[in-house]
Amino acid sequence: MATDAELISHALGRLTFGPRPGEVESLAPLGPAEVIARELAEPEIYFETGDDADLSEGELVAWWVSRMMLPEARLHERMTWFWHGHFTSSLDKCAPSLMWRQHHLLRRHALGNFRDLCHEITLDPAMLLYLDGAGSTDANPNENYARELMELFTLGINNYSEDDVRNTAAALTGWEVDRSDGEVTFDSRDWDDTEREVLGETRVWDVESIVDKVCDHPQCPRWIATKVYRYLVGRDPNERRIDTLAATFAEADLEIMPLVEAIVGHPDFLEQRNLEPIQPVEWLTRMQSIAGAEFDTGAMVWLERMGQVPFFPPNVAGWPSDERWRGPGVTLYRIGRMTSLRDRLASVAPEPDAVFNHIGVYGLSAATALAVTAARAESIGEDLRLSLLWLALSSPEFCTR
Amino acid sequence: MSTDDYTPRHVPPPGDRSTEPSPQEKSRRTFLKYATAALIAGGGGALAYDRLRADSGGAPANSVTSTAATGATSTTAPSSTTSLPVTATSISPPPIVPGDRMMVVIELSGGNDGLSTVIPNDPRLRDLRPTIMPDESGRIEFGADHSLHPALSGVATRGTAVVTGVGSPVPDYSHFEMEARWSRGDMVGDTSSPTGMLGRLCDALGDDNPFTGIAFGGHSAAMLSAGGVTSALQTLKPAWILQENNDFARAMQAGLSAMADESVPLDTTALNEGRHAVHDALEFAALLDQLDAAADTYPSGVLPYELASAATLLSSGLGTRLIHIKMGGFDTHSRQRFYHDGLMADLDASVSAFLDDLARLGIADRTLVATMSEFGRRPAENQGGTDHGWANSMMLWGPINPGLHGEPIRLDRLEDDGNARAMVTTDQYYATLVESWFGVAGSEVLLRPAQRLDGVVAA
Repeated sequence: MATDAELISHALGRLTFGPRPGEVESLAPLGPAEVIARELAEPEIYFETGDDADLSEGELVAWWVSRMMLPEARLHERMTWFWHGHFTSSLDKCAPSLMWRQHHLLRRHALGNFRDLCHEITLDPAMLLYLDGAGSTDANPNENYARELMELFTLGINNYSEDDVRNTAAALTGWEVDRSDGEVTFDSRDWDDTEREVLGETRVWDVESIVDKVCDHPQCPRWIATKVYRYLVGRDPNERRIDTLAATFAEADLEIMPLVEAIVGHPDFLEQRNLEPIQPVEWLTRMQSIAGAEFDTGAMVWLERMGQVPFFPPNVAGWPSDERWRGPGVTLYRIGRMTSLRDRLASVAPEPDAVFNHIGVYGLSAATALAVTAARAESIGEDLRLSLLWLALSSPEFCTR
Repeated sequence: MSTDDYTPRHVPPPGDRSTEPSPQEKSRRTFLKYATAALIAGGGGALAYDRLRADSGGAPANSVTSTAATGATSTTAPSSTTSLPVTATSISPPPIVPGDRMMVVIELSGGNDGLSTVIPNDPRLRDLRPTIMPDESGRIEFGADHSLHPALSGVATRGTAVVTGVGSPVPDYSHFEMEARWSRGDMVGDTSSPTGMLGRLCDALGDDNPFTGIAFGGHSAAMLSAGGVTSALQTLKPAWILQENNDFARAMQAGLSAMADESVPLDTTALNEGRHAVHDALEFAALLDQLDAAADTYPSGVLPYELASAATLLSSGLGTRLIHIKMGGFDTHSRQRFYHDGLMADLDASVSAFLDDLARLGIADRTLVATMSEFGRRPAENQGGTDHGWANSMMLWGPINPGLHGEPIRLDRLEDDGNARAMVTTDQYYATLVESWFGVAGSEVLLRPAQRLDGVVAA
């Protein structure tokens, strides 16, 4: 039977970039249900100061990861990270200033309305450049965005036809982006305004009506509910659960918060633990927070080695959640990163008995308990505190969520 | 709502090992099989990892003195070590068996200028490119109608095959788009496959070994696999703490080894995958640590270091079949003559050293080296450089039939935008590597059917 501390740690690990040192202890008296309710009520957080719009690529990555590490970064931050992996764009193809703008768009809608988000991202300059909506004309329509809009962003494969893709691409023509300042313009002369059939309806389509059409499709709430569930719980829901969640999401007019509440308010959110490996961004933000080490552009190198750099998704499908995140290469680079922060970790390591709880791990497996015994047999004094902290940060309990 | 309206993830009951192993368990077992083979071949006695575990009072197995000819890192054996010294002799490769072929893909990132690399003997080039071409007198004869860049003498001597006229049937001139298409193995650019073409090939070759494919120098979208059978590495010493010998390092090593100790009864299955991961990582680190120093016959630089490491990995018996390496700098919009000459010289010296090393290691006859590059460059020069183009030439070394293959690039029929049409698709190039070299059906890994080019690979 899991203790409240275990459950609270699990909930915080899923809903925030924590738990941070001390957090579980301070929240334990509330019980897990109350902790979840409080996380759902946490305010959204905005960082727009206007000073950050002119960052380099590396600075932009460090800027965001640093914000994930702030104590006030909670569910809103976590969901912004989710949408970045859903509505992907990349610094590989878009300037940092445009990715910064897109980031704030995602942040504004992260817990808002999916339809609004879908409308805005469709005409976001970085997205227009990333998926080639910019410069797509009636004479030469580009199908890239039309396809991903249906395949990845709203419906999932097999819920539309190739004709739907072609006709959607035609409807989305006429848009251009000024690469110098990101200004988005529409020229109706380049827009295909002929009547076409999309998802069973024939009319003259434009961006507005296309986005509404895919959002109105019965598959859309199912697709999004499945993806958000997968993200928050760590595995796919079964058909019955998809039906329930999709109905909730549709009845809420695609408001994201009621969907999230339905997912995390269900008992299985706390029951389903340790399902998948922690990903590099989560591991590094938690570890660096524990170490009290700022995330700078140098730290970014380690994310690159582990293969997960914000603003650089591997492809349009975003970052998969699978076994690759505990592959030997990633595991060894975790050890490498801790080595480079050794002095810092040594300065924050608590007393030996407190190490695991300090980083939010409660209830050790037999194997990890034996590992602690083995490490204790080998070291004394200051070395013991550091080696136990190190071991805890490498443990399956910490590296699985 | 009830708590039972979900499908439980398949988790065997505690202690029950009789059920079908999970994919992760299978991969771990396969890995151990390969690791064991490697160590038996190594003949050095105890498994480094076992020593690390049993000999927790001493240092972990250690004392490989350098990782590469570049001398990038140098670890000296701690004086107090009680572990067996690792000799300078290389780990012998396992016996060659059919179907045990390997490949190194070198991505020439930025769009290599194929027309300066494999040069058509076409007088039109003098007009199209008055200032940027290598001197005609130095070019290396390559069949009746082509010449190689003068700097490619090393690989020319060792045997070079060229597949020319390669590109997408629907060209795009964006680096990002074309690199993404090459990565996915999607010549048209109309799929969003989450895996990469080389990753799928690793899935097909893999036998679940996590080291089937290694992206050396960092992650590559081309190497994304569905089965977790690829890993990324930037150095052969990713976790140098495991090689240290001091109080702290010993405690760490003892703790990690205990955590990975699979003889401990399993009290919970949910965390076992994480525990296997620690086990495999330690195993991997120990194996990497045991690898012989690379030959000192390589020039200095990043590409030679990575190729030297690749040779070491391929000859280790670890089970690695495919390695992806990226070489940058090919986006030669200006001062092309200067930059491209240097790139060709670096490539030639590095690959020549690599091919010689493969021969020394006894794996030359089962290791194919192939280049890829997102697109060729435009035939007409522009301000001392060239713009993004279409048809390109790919080079292959190793067990190949030297000479020109594919469809020669036609400078007499340029498209309206001045580019030369590609007559061989990227899919065909991939089909050649997949089918002719590895004997894997193209339908297993390609997104579309494609006709391979016979006779390129000396199968």
